[in-house]
Amino acid sequence: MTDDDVTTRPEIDTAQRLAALADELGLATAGQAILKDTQRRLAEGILRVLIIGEIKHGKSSLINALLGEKILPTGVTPTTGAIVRMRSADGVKKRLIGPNGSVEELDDRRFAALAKGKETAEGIIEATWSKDQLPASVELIDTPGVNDINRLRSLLSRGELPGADVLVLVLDATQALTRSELGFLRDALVAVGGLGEDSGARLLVAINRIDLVAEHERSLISEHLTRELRALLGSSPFELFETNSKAALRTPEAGGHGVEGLSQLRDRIRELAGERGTILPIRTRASLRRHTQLLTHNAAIQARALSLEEEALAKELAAVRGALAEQEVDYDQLRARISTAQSELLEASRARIATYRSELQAEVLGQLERSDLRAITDVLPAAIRDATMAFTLSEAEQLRNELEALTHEVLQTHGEQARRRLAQATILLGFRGPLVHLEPPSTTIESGTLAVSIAGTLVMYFGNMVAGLLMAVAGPLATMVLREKAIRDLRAAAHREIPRALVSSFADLEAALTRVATGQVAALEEHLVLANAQLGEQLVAILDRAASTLRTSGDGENDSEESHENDSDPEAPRMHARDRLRAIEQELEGLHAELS
Amino acid sequence: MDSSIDLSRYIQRRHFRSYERDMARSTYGYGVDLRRTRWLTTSVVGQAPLRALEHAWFALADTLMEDELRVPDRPSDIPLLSEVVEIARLLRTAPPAIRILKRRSGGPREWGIVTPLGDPRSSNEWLVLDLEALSRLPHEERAFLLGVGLGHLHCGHGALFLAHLVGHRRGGHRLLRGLLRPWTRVAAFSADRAGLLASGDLEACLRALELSATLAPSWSPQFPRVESRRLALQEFAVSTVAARFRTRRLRESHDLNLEEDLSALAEPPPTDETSDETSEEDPREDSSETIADGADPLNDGVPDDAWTLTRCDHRLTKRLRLI
Repeated sequence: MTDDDVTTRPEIDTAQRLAALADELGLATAGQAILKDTQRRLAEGILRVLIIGEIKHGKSSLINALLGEKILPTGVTPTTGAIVRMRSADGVKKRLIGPNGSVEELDDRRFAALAKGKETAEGIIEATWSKDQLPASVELIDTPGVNDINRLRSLLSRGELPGADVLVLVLDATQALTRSELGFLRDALVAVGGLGEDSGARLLVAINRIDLVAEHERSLISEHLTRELRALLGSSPFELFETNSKAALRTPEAGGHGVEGLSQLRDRIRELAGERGTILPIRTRASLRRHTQLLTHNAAIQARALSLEEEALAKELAAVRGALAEQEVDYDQLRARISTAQSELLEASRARIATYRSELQAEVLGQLERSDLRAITDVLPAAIRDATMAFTLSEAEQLRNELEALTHEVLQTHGEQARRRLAQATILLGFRGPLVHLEPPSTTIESGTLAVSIAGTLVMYFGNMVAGLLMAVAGPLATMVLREKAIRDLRAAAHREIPRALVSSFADLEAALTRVATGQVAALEEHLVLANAQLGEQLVAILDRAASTLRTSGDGENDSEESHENDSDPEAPRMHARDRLRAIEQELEGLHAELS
Repeated sequence: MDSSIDLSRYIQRRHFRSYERDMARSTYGYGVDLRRTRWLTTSVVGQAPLRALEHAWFALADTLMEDELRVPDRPSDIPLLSEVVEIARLLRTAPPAIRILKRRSGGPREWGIVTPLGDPRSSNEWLVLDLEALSRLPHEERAFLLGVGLGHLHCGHGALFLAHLVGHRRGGHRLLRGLLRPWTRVAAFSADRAGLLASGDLEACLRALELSATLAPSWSPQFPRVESRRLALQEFAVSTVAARFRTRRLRESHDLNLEEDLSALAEPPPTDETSDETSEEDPREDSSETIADGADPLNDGVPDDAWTLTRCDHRLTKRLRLI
């Protein structure tokens, strides 16, 4: 990939547009990250391989074995406490790259202290390898264990996920795939945008320490893992490698099952590096899509913040600062809480829907007995629809409150997404039309009896008086009897049709609301995963920007051109900001569509 | 009552709406005698052909849903549905059921860009939309066509279209179509006005009018010539009612919000209890007089659904010599 190719790539333009929008939302740091990420993939052509897994499963050992030299510290206690970036160079070098690009060479002691997290420093800890086991176009990232008791370390690992091109999940063969590993893997997939063709991300699973498992049990472990991963990933591809890092590093020439597995893993990474010309543009687009989604979440939060009073927003801002910006987030607890709350609110909604449906059914069937033919056919179906739509709107409102409360519980603030999702679901339900179709009774017999009456009248005038009279009287009488029968038939049809129609219609409502709740919760989880360690910082920035707009509204200041037309309206800056946010959201939607 | 649902409230509203529509039919005005139309919809004998039409419609509706139309259930339908909600709110009319045309084959047009359909009881009204054609139109022209469709349904003209469609597809109902002809002669004018109010741009409306007339399917009711309708629209565009609507439209344009407008889906439109009162006065002269019941006081006494009122139409039809 030459520089000329890169600068003309549409992804670069999209990244720049996204960065500008992020800046406008108050997320300048996120904007810089978008540009940097795109630059790394497209300009540098570096394939990022992220080594992830729980503590003490041998991530650092696996990297050393892949590189064929012991660069990272390993030991019996958890050794990785920071993100370490590894690249190819002429020799083994360890250094700290400061935020301003300054480079500090590190001796082994200081490197180990920083990598273990015993010392902290701002910047990127980088180590280089010298052997040619892996090509220079690969970048390895060593991460702390995702279940590290120190949540900040765990957050660091999660924070690296969106930038990954290849995920290497390191499992321990003796305790393969715990529940927390599955949970983390789920987050990882959300962060990279899945493993489909449109994501370009690859998942390689290393079953490390395979030597500790009896030979005849190894296939069972592989089968078990394949089953579990298939359940989580569906048809998405993944590859298993049975590895023994220690033996591969110490005695690679001795060979053996685990050493061979590690060699296969290395070969696969080399292969993927060879395919980076195809993989990286796809990854860039997938990554930009994820950034677009994150910015959309933030824009929706800012839009809603702009609808608050200044004092209420200040309170919310303080709450976000207190809960997210200055404290560590326990993601596992949050996830568990979100999952429980989702089940509870859906169950409550289902119960309300079932109660309303049975009450409405009883009410309608009661009404049937009191109504005449015209009311049953003309008015009742429309009234049922009105009652159902009124309930739909009230149920949507209730669900919106609950979903917003849940989001508020997690983020200390919330956006307008729940409202929009419910509005869209409701509008689709609202335009389906009447739920019940009651066919009016046939007119053939009525017309026949009317014809008899007319004929009777004619006979009466021109023929036999008695026969004509009888015919003239019999016609209307027969009509009356038949109309009664028609009403009875119609009621019977309504008794059959209405319960069926209500069941079907309320099932649609339940499905639509479930979809909304599931989508909203997925968006919340996505927001958590994508923003990750920057969550608090980003929310504060977003709300701060909104608060500053509200202050401008309150002070009646406005420097924008439009304001001159609305000098007398103190709400103008707020309205202008809301309009601009709407435009930003539309632009983000457009960009997302372009990238899809 | 044991249940917390007061169904009778909804029934009462629907009864009222149905009554109001019957009244509107009988005093439809324009100076055209529509007593025959009212007789058709209310008398025992007159109902027979309408009920026969309705039976045919039930059978046809099933076929249409299988082959030609679909329920709006895709996210891509939402922007258009939002426009329908906005226009319905502006015209104070109840949004109907929407049916979207499935992909059209290359044959002759079987549907207009917007086609209103409804049974004679107005209990099952559809607005059939050609999504592809609508999405190609500028916003103002699209708004006109949607407004016309909603206007037709609001005035109960769905049955006119239905009689022609059923006649075209299944044959028969020739007598009924003949009986409905006077109504067909005047139906387009009210609906066109609704379109103008929805669009707000006369030039765009005239363009859309031409287009809809050109693309009308062969079975479509024979409305008056485009020249008459064009003249009627130009007349209406400078009327007090249209001016007041434009003001209201501007005032509400900042507040339009899909989420808030959704309540329109459940609520029948507010009714104007004076709609059956005929006034011979020129609306330009009487506009400052007493505010009608149900009218928006911020609207200077012009009722929200004034575009269908007799007093407005009377002047127009005299000028157009429709009598």
